[in-house]
Amino acid sequence: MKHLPYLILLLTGACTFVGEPPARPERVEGYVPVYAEASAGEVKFTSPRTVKAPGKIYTYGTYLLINEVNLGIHVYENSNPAQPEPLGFLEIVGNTDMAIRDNILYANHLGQLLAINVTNLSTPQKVGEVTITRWLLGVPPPARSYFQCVEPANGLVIAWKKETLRNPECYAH
Amino acid sequence: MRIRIFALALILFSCSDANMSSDSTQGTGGSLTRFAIKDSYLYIVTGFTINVYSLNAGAFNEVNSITIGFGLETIQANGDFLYLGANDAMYIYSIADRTKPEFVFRYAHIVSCDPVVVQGNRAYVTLRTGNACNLGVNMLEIIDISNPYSPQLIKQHQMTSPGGLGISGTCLFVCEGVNGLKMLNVANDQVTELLELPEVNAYDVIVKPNSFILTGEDGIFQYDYTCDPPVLTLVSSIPVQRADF
Repeated sequence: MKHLPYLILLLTGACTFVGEPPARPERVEGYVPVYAEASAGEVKFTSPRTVKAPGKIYTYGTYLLINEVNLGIHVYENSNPAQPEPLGFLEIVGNTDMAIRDNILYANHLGQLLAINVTNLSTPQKVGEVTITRWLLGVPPPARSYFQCVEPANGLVIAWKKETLRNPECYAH
Repeated sequence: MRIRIFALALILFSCSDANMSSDSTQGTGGSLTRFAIKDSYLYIVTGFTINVYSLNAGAFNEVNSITIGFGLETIQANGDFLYLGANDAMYIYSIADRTKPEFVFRYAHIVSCDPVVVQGNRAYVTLRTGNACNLGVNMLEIIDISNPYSPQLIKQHQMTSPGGLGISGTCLFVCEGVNGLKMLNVANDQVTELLELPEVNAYDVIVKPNSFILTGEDGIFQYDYTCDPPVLTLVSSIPVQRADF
């Protein structure tokens, strides 16, 4: 377990200071990681949906893209900013970041970088995929809570589920 | 009749508007991005590295990965340089050789969370004491980068909880999370607070010459603005339905 502090630092993001848990209770409410299957979710374009947890935004031509944290990208036609028109939702599990050049969307997907041809949005075509070296950016555990330590071998953490933990070794400050 | 028109509009949308326009080749992100494109290369900052991807047709692959340090959070490409926001410094890397980012300067400061945006020979950096960052200050810094090998701090301005930011001309917009958005004039490297939107949760912003798009927990808001005289006009909003936990 000597790598534990390092791993926690990786998994909780740069701005969280992680140390020893205040104490190690026998039973306590805490969080267990939900791992994504490496193959989770095909990229597909579905009908517009409500924005719930907006992340980063991006504009391309007259399009406005809004990341839905770890779920995908809302696409709006924004040629009239007074009335942005929802076109649909691009499902990309684990997505947080995006960029577009020459009609190819580059988006992260569970530690992979996807290249998706969006010339025709209703039928996005995956044209490439590479592993992002040292991406390692899972969803951090909720602050000030005990959590079941993350096993990186199980994949990227995409969510946290509340559960009663026994003798948890990890704590997020 | 109204329904029919709507149905027709839907058909038209599915035929035409689902095509991305071909005249623009590259998009624009906010300040809190880990992706930056320069020419046919994509630069990604992970927590520790800059990775370089070739975007040439038929040659999409990772061509380099350079270890920088800890706590990298944002990246901006400007000219032949990359500006990285980390939680303890701003890093400058040269991409004169696009495939081989080369260390230029590490502008260190106390531990904070800080995106950076660049316009001309100025870098604008926000430093914030978040819940998670124990040390730090709440500050906007203007840094002279005319010589990227020797950046000079020229102005500090006290803020409340600054994060994402964007600039056009002399008009700088700073997101302050639950404390809203501030509109500042930074002409001649002096900082004047013009207007604020204190009610809205402000995370990041994309600023264009006469308008900006603001995102945060409350929604995505589009505003028209002028800096002189200072005017903000709400144009539209996309509501957010908060998730239940």
